[in-house]
Amino acid sequence: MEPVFKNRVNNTNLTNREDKSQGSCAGALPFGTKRQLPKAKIDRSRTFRCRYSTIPTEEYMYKSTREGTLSTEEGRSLGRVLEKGSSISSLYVELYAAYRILKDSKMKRDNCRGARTRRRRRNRTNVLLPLDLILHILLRLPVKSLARFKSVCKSWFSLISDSQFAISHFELAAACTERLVFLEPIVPEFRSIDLNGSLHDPSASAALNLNFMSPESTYVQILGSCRGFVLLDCFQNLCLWNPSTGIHKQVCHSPIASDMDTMLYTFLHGFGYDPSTDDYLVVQGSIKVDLEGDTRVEVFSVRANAWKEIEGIHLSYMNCCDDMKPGVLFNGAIHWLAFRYDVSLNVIVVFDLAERSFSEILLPDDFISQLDFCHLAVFGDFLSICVVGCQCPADIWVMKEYKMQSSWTKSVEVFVDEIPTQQFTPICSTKSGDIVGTDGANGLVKCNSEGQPQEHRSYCNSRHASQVALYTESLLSLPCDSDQAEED
Amino acid sequence: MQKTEGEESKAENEEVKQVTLMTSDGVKMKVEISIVYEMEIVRSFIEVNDADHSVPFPLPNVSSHTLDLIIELVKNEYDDEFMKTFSHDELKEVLVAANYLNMKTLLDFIATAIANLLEKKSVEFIRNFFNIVNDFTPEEEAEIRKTNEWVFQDLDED
Repeated sequence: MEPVFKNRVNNTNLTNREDKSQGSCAGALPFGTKRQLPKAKIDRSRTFRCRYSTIPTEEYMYKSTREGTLSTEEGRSLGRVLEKGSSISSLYVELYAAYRILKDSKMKRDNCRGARTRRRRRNRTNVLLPLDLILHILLRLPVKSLARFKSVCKSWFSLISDSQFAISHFELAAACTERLVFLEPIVPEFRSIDLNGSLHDPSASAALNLNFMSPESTYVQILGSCRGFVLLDCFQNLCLWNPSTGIHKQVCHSPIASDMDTMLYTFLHGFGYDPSTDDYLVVQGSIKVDLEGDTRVEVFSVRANAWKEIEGIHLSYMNCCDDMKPGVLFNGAIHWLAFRYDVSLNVIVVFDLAERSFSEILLPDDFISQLDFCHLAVFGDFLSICVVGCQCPADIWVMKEYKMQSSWTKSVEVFVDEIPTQQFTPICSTKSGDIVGTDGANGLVKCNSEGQPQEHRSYCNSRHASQVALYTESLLSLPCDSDQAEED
Repeated sequence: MQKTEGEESKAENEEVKQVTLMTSDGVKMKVEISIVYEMEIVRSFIEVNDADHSVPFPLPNVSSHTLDLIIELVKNEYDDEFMKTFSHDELKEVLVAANYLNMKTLLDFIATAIANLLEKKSVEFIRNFFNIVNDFTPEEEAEIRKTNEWVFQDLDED
């Protein structure tokens, strides 16, 4: 391969090459450079209007190009039409080329006169990119870079802050990176951790700004994450927070959950997005402590900024373990492990965000682990059940085909002997296939794809375990109906 | 070099169809039709008109140097190593040309390459790269930086 590259300029079968200098030829100005041109009047009798602009007629074009009388303005308007890819006759394409060559040779002549000054200026001028191409590049940059480039200039600041830009950026998956939000207990302090590099790389972890949280909020719990937003339970209220941009919104607790008299225990918490209504939803399921009633489900719509109970559903679920575990977002639905008390069976409860309805997924046939030590996650592109390793290997089961019970497969075992705490709680896999999890205390462990621990890093000393959640970096903001009304 | 010789002998044996392109600096270049077909702007023209390929197709917005780079990139199936030899101006010229020629794969490839190059660069580097004048007052700039300090850590040297 190498030799071909080294001679790349000489290798090609060029004819008639005069100028071997780098960049464009001596006559043409670099791309994008704005050139001041005298405005020539276009004779209306010799022009016609096409889709994009007024251009010279074919006949006039033909004649004037031959005689060299075509004005710069006329040439330019034709060039613009061709640039738009308009399907005008092939003669124009040829005529335009002829015109350009004529013009370039003219400019070369001009160049020779003021060669010295002009060349000095050329070396200094970079190639200028039009805004749509700059946009192509920006959309492919990670959020961290974009947040930094807001301070390049005012127009970049407004472009990067624009909500439409944020949506395009999020939808172009190439630019999206996942990070881990790591909550140190009691303090509380948040970190954002990049799992793709080494855990010991000092740049992999950064403290996040928490200026929105009141200093009394010592009890904070992570309840979910979706499209760059993390849902936090801050005791007095819930909070939606985008760690990449700092955007946050306080949400009051649901009417049912905050009504102490009803003796309801909230055991399902979830957070997701419904693309059909472009709305973020917080879902909460509560059960009467005396076990006689149904499960009651409430949904908070961020767009409507209100809680609403879903009427007419009769569910017979209760929590399958004492710790309330946040729902896992996968395939447009939120998933929880739960116990179905009418048939005494552990199942996965599924809430479809668009349909706002429940369904079930059965656990693997030969699954015998106690659900106290299990949680749901997404590994690779699969919904997974993870069994915490505690003095025994941690297991990861993946559902190869969604909602197909027979497709459950035990994919990997993680050995905990080399981990200082002898514990491993799987969280996710990285781009390169490594498996990351917590050590059950305040550290992270990274294992290779075979389940062999490779790295361990502890982030703080505390008697209480840290909480973690994955989030996709995004510049997105939250929808709000009142804003839209103003725009309309 | 072996590869080039192989291509030449192939060209002799099978007479690979070529299209002549005329660049902005008036250079006529014979280009294999498989490469030309990636350029939507030329392809649509050839397909509609079934034109005589000996008449040069004008590319008034692409210099011969840029076209050289594009042909080599396509020939080498968008090789990263080759692209790393490009100067900043060459990268930008290829981006502009890919857009003009309507080469979707190349446009995506080169935009991603430039994004990778800029990902860990400082704000000053970006201003130089795009020739942008800073229109913030020092106070305004400091204010913006303060809101998100951690994004200014861990940068490449310019």
